[in-house]
Amino acid sequence: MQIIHLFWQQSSHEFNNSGCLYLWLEQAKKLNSSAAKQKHYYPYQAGEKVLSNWFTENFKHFLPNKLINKRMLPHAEIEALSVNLPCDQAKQPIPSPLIANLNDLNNSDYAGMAAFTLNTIKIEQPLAFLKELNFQSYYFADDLQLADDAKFWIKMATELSHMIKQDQYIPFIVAQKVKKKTYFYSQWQPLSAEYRQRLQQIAPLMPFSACLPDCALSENVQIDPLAVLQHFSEVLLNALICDTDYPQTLHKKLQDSFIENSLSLNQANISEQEWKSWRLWHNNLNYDQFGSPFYLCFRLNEASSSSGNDWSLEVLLQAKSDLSFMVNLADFWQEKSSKQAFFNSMLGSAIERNLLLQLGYACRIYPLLEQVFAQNMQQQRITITTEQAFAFLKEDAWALHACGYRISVPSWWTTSGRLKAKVKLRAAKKATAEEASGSSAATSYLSQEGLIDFNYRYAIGEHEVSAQEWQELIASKSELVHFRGQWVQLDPKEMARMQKLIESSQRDKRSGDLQDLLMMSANEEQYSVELDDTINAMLSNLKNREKLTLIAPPETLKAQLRPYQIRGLSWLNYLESLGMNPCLADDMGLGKTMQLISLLLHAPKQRAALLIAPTSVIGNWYKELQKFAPSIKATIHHGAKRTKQNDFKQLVADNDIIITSYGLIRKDKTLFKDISWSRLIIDEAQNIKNPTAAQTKVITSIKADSRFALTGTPIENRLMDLWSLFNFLNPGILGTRAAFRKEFEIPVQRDNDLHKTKILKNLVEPFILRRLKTDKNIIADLPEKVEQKVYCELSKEQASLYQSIVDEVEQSINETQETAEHKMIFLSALLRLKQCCNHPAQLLQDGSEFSVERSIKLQRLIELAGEAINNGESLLIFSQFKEVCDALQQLLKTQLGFNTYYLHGGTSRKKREQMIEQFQSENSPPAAFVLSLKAGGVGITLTKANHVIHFDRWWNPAVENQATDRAYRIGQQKTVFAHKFITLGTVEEKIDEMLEDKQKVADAIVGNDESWLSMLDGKSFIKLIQLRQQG
Amino acid sequence: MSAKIMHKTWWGEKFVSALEAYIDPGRLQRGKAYRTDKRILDLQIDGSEIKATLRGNINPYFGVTKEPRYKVALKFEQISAQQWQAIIKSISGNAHWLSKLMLNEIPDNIEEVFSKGSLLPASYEDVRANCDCPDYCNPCKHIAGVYYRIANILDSKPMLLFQLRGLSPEKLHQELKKSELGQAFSEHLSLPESVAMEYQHYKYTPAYSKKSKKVPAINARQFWSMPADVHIIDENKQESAKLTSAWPDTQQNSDSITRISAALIKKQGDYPAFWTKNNSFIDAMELFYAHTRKKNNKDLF
Repeated sequence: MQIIHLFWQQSSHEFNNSGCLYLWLEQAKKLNSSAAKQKHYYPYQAGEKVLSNWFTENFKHFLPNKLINKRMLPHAEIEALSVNLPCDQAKQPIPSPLIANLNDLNNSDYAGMAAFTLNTIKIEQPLAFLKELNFQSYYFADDLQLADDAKFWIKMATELSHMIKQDQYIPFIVAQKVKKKTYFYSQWQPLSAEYRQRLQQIAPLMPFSACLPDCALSENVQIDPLAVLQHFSEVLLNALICDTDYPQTLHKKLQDSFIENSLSLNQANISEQEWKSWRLWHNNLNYDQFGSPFYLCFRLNEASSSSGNDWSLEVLLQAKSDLSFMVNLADFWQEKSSKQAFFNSMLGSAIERNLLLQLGYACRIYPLLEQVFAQNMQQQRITITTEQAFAFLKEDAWALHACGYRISVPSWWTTSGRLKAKVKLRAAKKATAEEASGSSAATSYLSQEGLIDFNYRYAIGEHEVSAQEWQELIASKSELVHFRGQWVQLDPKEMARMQKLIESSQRDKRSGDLQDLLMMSANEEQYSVELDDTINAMLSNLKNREKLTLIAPPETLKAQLRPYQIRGLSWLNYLESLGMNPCLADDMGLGKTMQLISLLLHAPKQRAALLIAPTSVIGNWYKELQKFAPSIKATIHHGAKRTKQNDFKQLVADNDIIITSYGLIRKDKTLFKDISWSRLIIDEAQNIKNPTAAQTKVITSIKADSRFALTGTPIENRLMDLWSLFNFLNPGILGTRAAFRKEFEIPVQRDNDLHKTKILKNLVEPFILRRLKTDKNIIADLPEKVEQKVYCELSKEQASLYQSIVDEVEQSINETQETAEHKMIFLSALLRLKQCCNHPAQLLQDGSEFSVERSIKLQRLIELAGEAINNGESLLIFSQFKEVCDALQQLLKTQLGFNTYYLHGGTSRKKREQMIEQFQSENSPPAAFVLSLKAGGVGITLTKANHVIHFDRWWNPAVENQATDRAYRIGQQKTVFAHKFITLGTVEEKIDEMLEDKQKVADAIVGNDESWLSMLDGKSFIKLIQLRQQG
Repeated sequence: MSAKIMHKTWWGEKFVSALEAYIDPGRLQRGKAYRTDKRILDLQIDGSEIKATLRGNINPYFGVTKEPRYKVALKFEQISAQQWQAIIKSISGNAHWLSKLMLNEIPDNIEEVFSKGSLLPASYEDVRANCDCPDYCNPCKHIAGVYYRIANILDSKPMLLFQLRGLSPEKLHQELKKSELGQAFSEHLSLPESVAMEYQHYKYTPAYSKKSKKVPAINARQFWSMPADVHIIDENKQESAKLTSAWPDTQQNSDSITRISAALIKKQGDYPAFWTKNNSFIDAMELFYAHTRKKNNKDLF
């Protein structure tokens, strides 16, 4: 695990206090080189060579271009810097949380700061670098991350970029006095009320690690975050301009003024008088930005009719302290004497002076405003022509806005309300031959070329216009026209372009498939899509899922669906019927499995379906199918004894669904590819996020009538992952990999192109259903507590150990007839079996590794915990065995880097209270709290967690519920999910079944603890513990 | 007339045109060269009188072997106090004019209120000028130099004209205060016209300060994580305000908005006082901003 850190540092405390951005790589592996043995060397970081190579490889364009030796390739130079980092009492460093967890250092007590040496790389063009780093971060492997400080600077770079793109900075002169001589330096500085306000909001978010002063330069300097951001902005702004090549024409225009020196940041030859006149100018700009107590606001009132003879402009004064207070200029002028005290309280003391100044400036920008002064300021509005109104909307309003004036324009002018000239696309469904013959086989709207007739028309907003009208509008050359009761902006050039588009489309594409239609309707700017009733109903169903006709839950389903699950089922069914392949991406815990099982019941198919899932959930799928849909014949294709070759076809023929794991996809690919499946379902679809992986390629090539993807993690963040998923579900929708990269990936992820982002969102939205537990209408559907049984299989090792225990017990029982001895044998067997179900290492007690591979139960736990924590949720993990608790918390912390807490019988009262407080604190990050059932099952409140995992079972529901209630109690604001882990086919499953039946059995044999088990006779006991074969 | 000095303002232009009608092209040309600091060693404006000392040329042919100094004196025709009173009264009632004057602009129709004569000297005859140089001609090149210099000053300080035509600043304020709007203008004129020198200890806002508002990290996690400060004290509300770790939303302007180049600096108008060049300041800055944006577009977010 490596973490990219970035910190800012002021390079000098002298007058020329420039600054640099430095990069360093923190890593989990402790360095052991000779350098690392030096005192104060920070051990959890990449060594010089590794860092230099890593940087050289990934950021070629940012290497210094001075070549010392022609034969030597450019490489990143390492600078060793001494900075203050947190440490414990023994002056040992405390790394960042993830690295600390991985090294089991999170319990180190923070004692202060100490100087450590870091290997760093000085970043040459910080703004360009931060943009590139942000782009690359979308492609990081799982073991590379950005630290919070790096994320902070990336965000800061976007803020600074925005300020620069808005020209919100001015020429600036710094005067320095050395002895009696004055020196002047001409440079640039941000001057924007908006930017300053942003910095004030952002400053408190800056991690301490984002700014590390050089210890060699000074000790104990204090950091002021706002000043750091200003310093950063000023240094980078000036460096950027200094590095920019300006043409001779500009140099000529600036020649002999101090601003010419600002281009190169040279010391300028400036007189005091010049400085003073610059300063006065600067102060005036500054006053304008920050000082005036009211805004001047210009409101455009639209003309009431097409004649356009009553457009008007209104001038209003708006109080900065209370934006709801606005007064028309003429009203103010009339009443300013009579209501002076009132106006002064709202608009400040020097209203007239401010007003005349502001109006004067505004007139410079927009001379038409001089009319305001006519008639002694007594007119409420200035009347203007349609052309003037258009010019105002198009240019002057924005010029005034950019200068700090407030603008109010009719709502139809705003982006959302604006009517635009568009291509109107009329789409109608074709009656197909298949439909006529009533064949229902695999009607895919997506791929049926010629399914939909396209008819292109001209439109203004939603209104259709004839080709002749369109021509007339283009010819009228007026850019603002009154059209069917509304004012509309027209761009004749754009309209002419659309005309061409229509003319060529009419030749080329008179019909197409749903995919074409979706692509065109995603581009709302250009197309206005009108559909015939059939297609309209279909598309509106896709877009407004709430309006989808609900189907009845299948009667054969042995469970109650929650309302949102019925919606999910209806949606899955609807998309499948259209031949569009859906992705169900509901938040964990909402029951994706159940929704899919319902679909299998609702729309049974002749041929079998193939379900691919991670090994850890195969058993759960099987068990849930059995439990909730016993009518479906399901089988697991997994393990060494799985069906091979020709028998596989028979297996498929005999079953409705075959469950297999991702791991087998490549091994058994010929088996899978030979079958034509009815449905291909992939669970935990993030497993195919890498489009080049062999596994992904095999999965996309398996033939099936319809495909489904289930995932609980958001998939829209990394566009490459999204593409890969769509390449499986609905290939073609997002184009080829290369086209997608050019069309969306780079514009969205590198250039932050909002238009493209929107089109992409429109394009994929119909295919993805993602609901969060926190959605309002989901909360209403969810009970406060949800109990879920999590079924896992035994690993091969566990199964054979389990069998040997059973054999041993059988033998011992046969050897002795004494009940008392049987009792002992039973209890010891039960204990060992439980241990075996948890993990072989627990059973063997041989110090062997508590590894994920050896226990599927453990595997599942880790996946669940990971999903919860990545989702920002905390969880409690209960086990009755201290050694399991020990091992679990160690694993979660040091291998996965999770934040963990651990409470067991030996925890001191003080420590316990401290932990609870910290865990519960709103500011603590999500964490896993491991508790031994005995020590943590009662008394305490841990409502920060909304997942409770019972890793092994205590055969007493009351005890388990009490443990669950640590989270499910007053103060809990979310639904609590209790996950009870059960290994399939084992004593765990069988006792669970008995518990479930307890209510049904009149004289319950199941008591409050395990003692009832010892009442059994030998035969019954063997029957109870015997391994039941699955699938 | 390739060397014609482009005056930045219409009144500057008009001011020199009064002179230009009275001078031959040779003197005019040379006079322009005399308007710079190289020639004008000292320039004093006292009320409506201007006194300047200029550096002359060595000319052995005329027996001038030591660099001479010439003294120029200029006085403009006065407008009577009574007339001024009426003029100020009508200016005070005209919001448009006042707003222009506040921005250091002379309204182009202001001459309307000067029933007799005009604000700008209509002719060189309205100026009494003399110079102690040997040139018999009036205006000589030295007078012309000073005259051009005055025109330059008037470009950025048009209110000087009022003084030159006999209205003292005190009198001006006194008259302005008689009306409400005039009062506002008077307030504006009393604002400090100049600022004191300020010296900086650092080129950039120093990142580290002695009196820091930031308390040191309370634990290691806080050191490494965002947000570092979990609680901020909102001084206005006197209570601890909770921060969410979410970055404040940006109000992304839609791309349909027309980009206005150099909007910030435009507001202070073209030709600020520090801009002594004759080409447009705004035009130069627009070009600068446009290039900065264009050349760095690929590297900016």
